[in-house]
Amino acid sequence: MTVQDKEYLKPPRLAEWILRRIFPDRGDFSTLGDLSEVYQDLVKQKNVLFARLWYWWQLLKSLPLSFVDYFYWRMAVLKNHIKLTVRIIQRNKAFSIINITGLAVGIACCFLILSWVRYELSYDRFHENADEIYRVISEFRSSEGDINYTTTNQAPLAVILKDRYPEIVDSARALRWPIVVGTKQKKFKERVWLVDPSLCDIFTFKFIGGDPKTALSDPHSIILTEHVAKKHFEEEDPLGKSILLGSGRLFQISGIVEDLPKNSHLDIDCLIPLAFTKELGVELEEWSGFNFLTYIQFQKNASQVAVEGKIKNILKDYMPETSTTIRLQPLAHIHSYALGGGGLILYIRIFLVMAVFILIIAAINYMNLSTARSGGRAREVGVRQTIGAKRSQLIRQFMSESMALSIVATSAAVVLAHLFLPSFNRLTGRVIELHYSFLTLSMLVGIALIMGTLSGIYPAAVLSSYKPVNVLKGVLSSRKDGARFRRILVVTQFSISIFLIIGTMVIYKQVRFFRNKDLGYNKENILCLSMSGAVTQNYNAIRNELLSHPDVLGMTRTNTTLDTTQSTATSNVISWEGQDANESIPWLHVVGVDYDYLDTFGLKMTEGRFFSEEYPSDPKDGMIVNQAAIRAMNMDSPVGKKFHFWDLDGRIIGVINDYHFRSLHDPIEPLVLKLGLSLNTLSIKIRSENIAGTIKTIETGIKKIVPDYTLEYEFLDERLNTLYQAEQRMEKIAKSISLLAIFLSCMGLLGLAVFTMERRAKEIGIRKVLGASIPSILLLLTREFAKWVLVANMVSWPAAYIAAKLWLENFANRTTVGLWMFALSGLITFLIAFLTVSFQAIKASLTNPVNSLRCE
Amino acid sequence: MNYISRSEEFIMLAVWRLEDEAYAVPIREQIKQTTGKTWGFGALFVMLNRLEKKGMLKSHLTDPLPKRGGRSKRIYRLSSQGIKALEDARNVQKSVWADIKNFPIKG
Repeated sequence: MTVQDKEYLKPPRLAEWILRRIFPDRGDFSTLGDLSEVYQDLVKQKNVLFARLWYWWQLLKSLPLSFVDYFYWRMAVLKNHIKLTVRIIQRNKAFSIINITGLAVGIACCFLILSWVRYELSYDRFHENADEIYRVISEFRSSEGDINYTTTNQAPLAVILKDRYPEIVDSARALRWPIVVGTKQKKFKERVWLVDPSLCDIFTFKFIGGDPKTALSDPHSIILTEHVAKKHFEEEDPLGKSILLGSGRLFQISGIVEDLPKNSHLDIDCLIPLAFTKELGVELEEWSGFNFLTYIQFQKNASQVAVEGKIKNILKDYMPETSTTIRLQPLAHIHSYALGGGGLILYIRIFLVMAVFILIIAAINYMNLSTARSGGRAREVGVRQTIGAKRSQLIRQFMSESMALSIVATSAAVVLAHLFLPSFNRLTGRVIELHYSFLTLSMLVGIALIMGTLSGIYPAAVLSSYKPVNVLKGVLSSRKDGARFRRILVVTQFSISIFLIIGTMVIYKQVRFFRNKDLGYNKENILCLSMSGAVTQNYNAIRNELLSHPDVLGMTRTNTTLDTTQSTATSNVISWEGQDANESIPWLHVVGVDYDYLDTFGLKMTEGRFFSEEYPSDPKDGMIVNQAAIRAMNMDSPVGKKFHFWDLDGRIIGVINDYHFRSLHDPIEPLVLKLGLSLNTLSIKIRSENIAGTIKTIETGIKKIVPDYTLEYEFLDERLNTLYQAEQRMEKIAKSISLLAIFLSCMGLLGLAVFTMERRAKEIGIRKVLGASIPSILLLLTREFAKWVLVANMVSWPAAYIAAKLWLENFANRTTVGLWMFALSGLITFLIAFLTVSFQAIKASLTNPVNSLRCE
Repeated sequence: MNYISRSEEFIMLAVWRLEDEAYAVPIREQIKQTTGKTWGFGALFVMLNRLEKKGMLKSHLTDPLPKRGGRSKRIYRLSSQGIKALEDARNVQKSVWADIKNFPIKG
């Protein structure tokens, strides 16, 4: 070939190399010769540079055509591969359906979970300044080191923060005020917020009507959200009209804003200016109660840590005695991060892990089945190799096959996700839509590619490494072809499933625990009503009226409901008789009660007596503490001891049993009961029969005394249930996910069983010919699978135990991890695995040996 | 029957004219001389390949030549089918022009 003379001038080497790559030219490169010839002439006629440029130009001109050509042939090969894939799917229908469905379900589940996570994390992000907005948190620290947080602050704080720190460009206070709003004809209870006008600058409210700048400048102006305006005024234009709040306060509608998106933590129906509170007698300049939500907006790029450091102890400047400090919470964290740690983010993380688990299981299934199946294709590979397929071509074939399958599965997953979206939404209690953002799309594509690669790479690598001679001779069957690898995969799958099953059982047990836990009081058939205005003033008349009815068993009023006890006395305002100076001082929760509190809720006194109208001094100095308080104060014979909190002096007249006056998430903490203290919540105990009728009676009864009353009530046990909604939801989701996991694992196992039985058909045939009984063959076949499941159990039990312990640590009142859970999960997996396998095993052992041995 | 295109006709005529020296470089020169158009090599190769696939041309390789960097020439010849196609082309050419008079119109 290399007949060259000394005068030969080489054309540009790179260009020549490229040309050779893209133009095989029947292997003789005569076209390159043509180009070289012209190149020689050009060098002689003109110069080297011109010739070179000319040569490159020829290359450039030929590129577009060559690309078309290249793709044409690539597509031809791909078409062949796809055709082959379709044929293989058709040949092994059951296998392929198991394979594709498994993966599709897994991806769909993952997709849904990720959409949910995305939704939960999107809370409050729609505000234009979302990254600069923070909520101010008050942090209380008892001398025992307990930390408590509230999201509310004292009134002057917002103003001071803005004035003193240049990093804080704006601040606003807000006060929640649920109240009946309406015109003469219609009245509804709305969530009214009393806010500083600057709130509209900090948050992004979309005004449909009215001027955002001046909408809240008049103390009697009100901004309605769209749905409220629709509800009250229907088609009319509400702007400028008047609307009534509570008992006869008129407000003029100065603005309409679009409803806030669902993913907002602000539950606003109406906004009125905070300045209005002056008329309610609320002082905005005093450092008194912690009542106000405070939102601040940072300068761009101000750091949370730096600002937090500066303002942490700001309260000391105004109240030298205080131990309360200030913290900041980014707006985007409000929804998902609880103040003391934990919160929804915990569940988000758990579900992310679950999503990954499901994906792993699905991927393993897929790999497992693809690998198992491709083992049967060794002969095909042998023939291909003999005909002249290169290893790279074989690998490409297997890869494109598995890619095609995984792309089909991913597309099916998208369809599935859409189909199951409504039920998923019911499960999560949210209204999630599937967004196809760049992120989700690239995630889906990524999953498809990764799955395709993972499942394709093993068969591709193994099968293409076979020696064709051996394959065609049938020597191959002596090889294990990845049996151990597949076994590990199945064990992993089952371990994950068992882990999820145990996890679900623990969650289930905790939820049941919440539901059935003896709270120390009677929560059944108790109606909760909030009182205001005329109802509060005429309480005694209403009480007499209602109690005269035989279905009303009792009623009382308190200052909080039993699920949300919030008022507390901090350690520096508590003292008692016989207090040891070094004694650490506890937190104290304060509940204002009435005389009939004890009977209505079925509480018990452990020492002393409850408040009684027979003792005229009780309203003034009677105090009742719970057992936890006695323990915390380390008090012997407490009855009769002096006790002081806030600015109230009194005597302990009795000790009440430890009942759960807050969510079961929290432990029972020290509590003091006091008569009075703005009793605004009514609890009515009714008979369990004819509840609807009794409610009607109550409404008419109250209406007799307060004619324009509208009854709004909730049952105490339902209210309590909402406290554990997060856990209940989690239980439901976890249940579905672990069901899915076990289902997917079984599919994998089924596929593997089918495969194993096929491979061992001859062995079984010989055994039967030699006289093995059907049960003995069954045992032989299922024993192996049972072993794997056992190993899987062993692996996941400790992991599940540790995870369950960690999760339960989040709850003050928690259930235990029962031994039975492990036993049950083991049993379940064994049973399911056995059922899956034995069906195949029975089929295999019943086969006539003639069929499997005929070809030998 | 299908007629060959104009450019196919040029190439095949060039191959005929060049006889034993009918490979890409002189064919290109020939076309340049007769039609005044310079063809790119890419276009020429595509045409030559197509004609060969259609059976109008046959080709063989010569011995490797030093001037060509040790590569062969691919020499093309007309096949009998190619010759027939050229004849047809000429006849058609003649007959379509046969009764055309006063073209272009003078004056």
